[in-house]
Amino acid sequence: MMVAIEKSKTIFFSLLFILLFISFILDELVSNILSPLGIRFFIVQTIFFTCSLSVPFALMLLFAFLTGLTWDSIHMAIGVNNDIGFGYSIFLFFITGSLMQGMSPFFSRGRWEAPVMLVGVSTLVFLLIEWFLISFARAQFVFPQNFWSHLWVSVFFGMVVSPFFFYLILKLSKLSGCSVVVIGRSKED
Amino acid sequence: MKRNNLIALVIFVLAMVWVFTLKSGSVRSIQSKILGIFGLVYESFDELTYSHDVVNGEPISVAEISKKYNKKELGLRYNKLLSDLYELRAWKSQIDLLREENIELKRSLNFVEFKRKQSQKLVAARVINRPSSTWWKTFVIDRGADDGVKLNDPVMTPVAVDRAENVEGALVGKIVNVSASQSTVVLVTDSECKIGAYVHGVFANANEKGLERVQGILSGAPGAGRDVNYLVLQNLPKEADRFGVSAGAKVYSSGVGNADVSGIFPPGLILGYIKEFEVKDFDAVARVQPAINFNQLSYIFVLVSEENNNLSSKGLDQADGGSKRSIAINKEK
Repeated sequence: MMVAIEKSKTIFFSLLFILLFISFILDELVSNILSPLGIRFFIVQTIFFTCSLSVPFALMLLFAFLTGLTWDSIHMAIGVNNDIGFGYSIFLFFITGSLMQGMSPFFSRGRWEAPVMLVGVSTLVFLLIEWFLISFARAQFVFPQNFWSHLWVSVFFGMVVSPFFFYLILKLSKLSGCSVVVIGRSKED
Repeated sequence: MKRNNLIALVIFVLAMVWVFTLKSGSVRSIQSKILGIFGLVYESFDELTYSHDVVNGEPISVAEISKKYNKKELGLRYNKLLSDLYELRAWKSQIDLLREENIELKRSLNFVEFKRKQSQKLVAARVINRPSSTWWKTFVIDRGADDGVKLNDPVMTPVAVDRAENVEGALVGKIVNVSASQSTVVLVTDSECKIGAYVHGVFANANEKGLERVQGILSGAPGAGRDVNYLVLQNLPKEADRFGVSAGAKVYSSGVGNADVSGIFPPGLILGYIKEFEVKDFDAVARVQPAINFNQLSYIFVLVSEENNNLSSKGLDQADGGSKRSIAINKEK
């Protein structure tokens, strides 16, 4: 019985890992489509936040490390001095992932409202800390044009899309046989 | 916190520190590897989303160009583009020349308009003869008595002061010889050409009459030429430096005349900038950098004021004197 549970957990966590990998591909596709419209939707962050709710703390740290490392590798210029050091996103994913971990009891009870709200808050925190770090490194606090509108649009998109990913995670958990929603599932059963 | 979580956190922090302390070479290597994983997927998405990589009907991606043309065609296209490039460069240099000329003419036009508003008539002239032996003393222009030019008429040219759009009249010299269709101009760089001048923005001690300008007499330096390319401002008060005369200060014509200075030059024409300043026993002398480049004079203006026109008979006396001086100068040459 224990072996079966461990196996299902491994499958579920592997699926989440693949989902995170796919999120980077989706991010590229979505940003290519939405960028001309002036909209930036942080799909990697949103998927990471939703995954953070359904995994243990240690695994969340592993996801934060890998996601942050990949994010910086893709988005930071190679071979030139960037405003902030390589790997700063690991720290940002750690902070926001830890924040999301606090909502995991809600999620395991099948409650989505608070986690959806927290996805928005985490996106906001992520972007604001990033802006602060960059401004601090440049020794100049600049509010670009449409700063707030772009920020709120990103937060809004994250919150709107996150229920879909919560649903997807539940489906994956069912598929792998690893129970994420304890109370919700018992009710369903 | 559970023991396992604590251990995980410690490992995470150590890993984060390791990433932060990575050298640029290692970072580059990590980035290359990760981008290598995602590269293929990104390329296919780029093709999906940016399928119209075309400018003026021509593909801009290397892959598309190689598909469209063979090696020979590419060679021909390359040569054609190269010849187009050289032709465009030739055009560009031509346009640059025309642009410079356009700027100069526009400046002159604005200057003429400005002087017209001041009821001063300007006669535009072209320098037609400038012998190398008298390069720093005189030149000949293509305007003479038939055009209203008279002896001792001041000659000037527009010059940008401080910034490109701020155009002022700079004194070039005066007419010393007039024929029907030509005139000879003596330059301010000639030591015979003396001009009443003041230092802009500097005032002597206030007396019962109020503030007084720091004035002197400007003339060309003895032996003016390529090596002596400055003017000399003499008869300045000994305390001029105390009043604020310093390097960089602008020098303008004062319009004041005396025995040496005939007073024919209108006030407010820029002459140059103070370069050096020296206090002597009884007065002070300043070396002045001319406001204009006397080597590049091709178009100038002769200033014929309305008053001068009306009092032409009165000016005859001066003209006689001036012509005598001009003859003397010519004889010296």
